[in-house]
Amino acid sequence: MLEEKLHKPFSVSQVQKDIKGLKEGAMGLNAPIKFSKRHNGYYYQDPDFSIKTIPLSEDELQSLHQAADLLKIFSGSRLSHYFNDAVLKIETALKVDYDQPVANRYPIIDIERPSAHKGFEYFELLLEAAQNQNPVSFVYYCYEERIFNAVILHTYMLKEFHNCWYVIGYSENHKEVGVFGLDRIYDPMVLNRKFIEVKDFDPDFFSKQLYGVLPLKGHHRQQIDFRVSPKLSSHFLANPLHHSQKVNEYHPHGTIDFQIEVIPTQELLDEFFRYGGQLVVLEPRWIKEEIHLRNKKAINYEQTWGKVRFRYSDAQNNLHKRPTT
Amino acid sequence: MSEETFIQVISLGEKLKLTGNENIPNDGIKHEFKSTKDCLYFSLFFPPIPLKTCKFNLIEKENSTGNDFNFYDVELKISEAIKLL
Repeated sequence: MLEEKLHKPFSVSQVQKDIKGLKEGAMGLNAPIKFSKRHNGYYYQDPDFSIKTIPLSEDELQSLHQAADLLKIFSGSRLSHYFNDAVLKIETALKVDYDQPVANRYPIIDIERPSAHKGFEYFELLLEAAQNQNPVSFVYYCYEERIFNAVILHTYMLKEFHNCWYVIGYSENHKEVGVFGLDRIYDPMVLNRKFIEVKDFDPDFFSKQLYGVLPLKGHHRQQIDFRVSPKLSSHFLANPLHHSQKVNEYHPHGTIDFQIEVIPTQELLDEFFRYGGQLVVLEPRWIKEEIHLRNKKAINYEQTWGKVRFRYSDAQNNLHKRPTT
Repeated sequence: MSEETFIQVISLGEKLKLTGNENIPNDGIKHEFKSTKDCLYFSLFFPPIPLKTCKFNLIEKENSTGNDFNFYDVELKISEAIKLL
């Protein structure tokens, strides 16, 4: 009869295996299936049971609600709206009333809110464009050059870094894969146009090999050695800069030498720079010199801008020397 | 932005007047830029241009003194148009 209904051949062992799966919870159903000798067949012991209504426990439903609340905090957009609708449908099917937290209770989880950033309102449009492989046109403002350009982008992925969102794809204007900050995008529109896929596009390049989003041109993946002060060493041990981070050497006075293997980016240089005298790059030389140059420029900025105050620390040089006892 | 702003297809002469704008104030209210490096992204809306390939002028004020938002010989080419989904 099964074969007639489903127009597919079945073996006895296959049917028995499926029934076992339904009964024993492998599919999460724990169906109350019994065998009837009288009718020589299987039946549901509970006549109201149906595999069309998903039997979620109260803990499972609570977890879904917690996930929806977390998603709402994170996105603040229609992403969580669809998710909430899906949870509501599940509740309705189960005819379960879930006790929501009391309205005046404080939120237990708090994170930085990326949804407040300019451009995040386009997140869903760009996400759908990437999923459906539709090119997108938008006006893009370049902060450095202070000009607007029209861009046609074939979106491959969206990346978040330090609470800022970026869209990555093939730009027809630049004829290469590029990275565009959502905060600089205006008026995105989905186009009816053939989608261009770059054959050697490697998503790992942007998700694993970079620290940040903007690779420095002309630089390949390389080993970068740096030393951190005793004050920062525990922080770096607990919060690796990159998944490739390793300890090269522990020094008796508390400094630690680390190494990472990444494609250098603008963000990596910014990160090294922001630690000031607490972190010094040992290798490669060009990064050392770049950080040194930034420090010198910062002193000049004080003189140029007037109101900006900056103190250059000489501690960076002292990290190279062994302490005298 | 002056409410009298219009676009004019050069070959036709008809003035298509401003029907709406976004993110820019109208007559009587000035937008104050915070510095010489500041910028403003805004949109102006007009009735549809009847030709698909033409040149038009965008005029905020006729007989401009040079400080008005006037653009001349803006090209529209249907061959370079991109379809929206």
